[in-house]
Amino acid sequence: MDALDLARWQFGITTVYHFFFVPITIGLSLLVAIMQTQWMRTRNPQWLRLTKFFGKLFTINFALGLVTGIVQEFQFGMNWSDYSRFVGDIFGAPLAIEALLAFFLESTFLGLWIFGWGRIPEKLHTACMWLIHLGTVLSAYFILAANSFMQNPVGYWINPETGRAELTDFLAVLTNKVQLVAFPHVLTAAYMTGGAFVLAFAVWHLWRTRTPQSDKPMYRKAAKLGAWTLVIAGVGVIVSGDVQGKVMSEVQPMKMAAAEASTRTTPRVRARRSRSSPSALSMAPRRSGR
Amino acid sequence: MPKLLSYLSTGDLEGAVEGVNGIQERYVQTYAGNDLTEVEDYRPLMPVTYWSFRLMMGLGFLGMGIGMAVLWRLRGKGDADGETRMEGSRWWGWAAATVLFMPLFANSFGWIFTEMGRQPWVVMGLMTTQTAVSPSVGAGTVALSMVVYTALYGVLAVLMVGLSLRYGRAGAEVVPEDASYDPKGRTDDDAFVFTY
Repeated sequence: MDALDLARWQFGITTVYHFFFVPITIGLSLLVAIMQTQWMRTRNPQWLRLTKFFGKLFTINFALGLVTGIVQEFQFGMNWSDYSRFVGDIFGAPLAIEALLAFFLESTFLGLWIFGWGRIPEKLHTACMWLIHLGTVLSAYFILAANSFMQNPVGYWINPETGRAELTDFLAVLTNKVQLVAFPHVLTAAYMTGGAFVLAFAVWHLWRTRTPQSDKPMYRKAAKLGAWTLVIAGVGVIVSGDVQGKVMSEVQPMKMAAAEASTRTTPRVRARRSRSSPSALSMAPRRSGR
Repeated sequence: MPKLLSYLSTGDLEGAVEGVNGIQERYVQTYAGNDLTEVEDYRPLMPVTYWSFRLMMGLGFLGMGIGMAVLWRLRGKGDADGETRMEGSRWWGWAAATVLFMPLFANSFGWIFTEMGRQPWVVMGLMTTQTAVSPSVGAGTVALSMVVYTALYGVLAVLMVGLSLRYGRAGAEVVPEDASYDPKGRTDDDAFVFTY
């Protein structure tokens, strides 16, 4: 294996590992915030116990997501320096915003939440968990904008003197049409994962004979919350994924064709192609009668 | 699968979808003559894109299926003693142990599809992955950092799973029935009771 293969494997492995924690953090922060809000509303101590239980599990995931995220950022400079040189001007901005949000917004409010029990007013304390969730969602938006640029570059020009891509329109990068469909898909998939996380631990305790009978109604509540989140978010994933597939066919036809491993063009393609050229590429549409 | 791809990508069962080979021919012409974009083969690894796409969808649907099964089993208000008929059942034990990994791995396969499907591009149409790699970092250096990361991530994985199972098994701690965390209503001695 040469350096290129190794660098690709390394990025792949560390990214998949990092992304075990990301969807759990995004989804679970929402569910813990909902549990704490339910406790504020109903004063039912079951919700408080669930908040603390899943809050603890959330903290472990958050820490690991943060640590493994740093490794991601290192690799751009270390293994992919020519990439960073070429598009760093564009890719760097959303990447930096993402890291800053993760460190300052999310970590600060998580600190306040962990150490704030009984020290800051209850409403403010609950708001901290909502702000953590907001931080994770914003983080996801910016890092996905960076990724969407790689799928469908927009808002740049190639400076002929430096040979580098330079940012011309940050708003275009943030409203990339790939981004607008990828973000809902990734976000709802994260909610599915958060729902499945709560469901898994709740059903574990419903299944377990050693869990006190008096606690079972509490885990029943959690299992229902998790299951509803999983199913509703799942519908969102399907709908957003469907829209995403259509955008992908337009900007990355190769990827969609490879998903089905379809090597040959299906009929009617030529008729369609002559109406609209399907990609952003400046290619001459080949007109030929059917 | 005939027709399905047409529907997925164009919203029309008879919609046209260009095949991999056609796009390949077109890209070879479009991107020739530029060091950053010229490669011989513009096709991604098809076994990877084909299977990751299916695993993403299959695992996602399985996860939703378990979610619906739980909702069905727990429908209604439920008995006051919390009887769910899940206790000790082999089926629900498996459901609890596997349900998290369905959407979780569906996420992984979705990203593997997105990123492997983009190959050989690192930035679609602008730069190929082979030109993006650091020119002066050798295979040995990358292999070394990979060994370090793998060891580190292995330790983290053991810690993570161990801690989650420990806290998970312990269950939700009991809190006083009239628990209040409002700082106004407590004396200083209580301050640390509620933190963990």
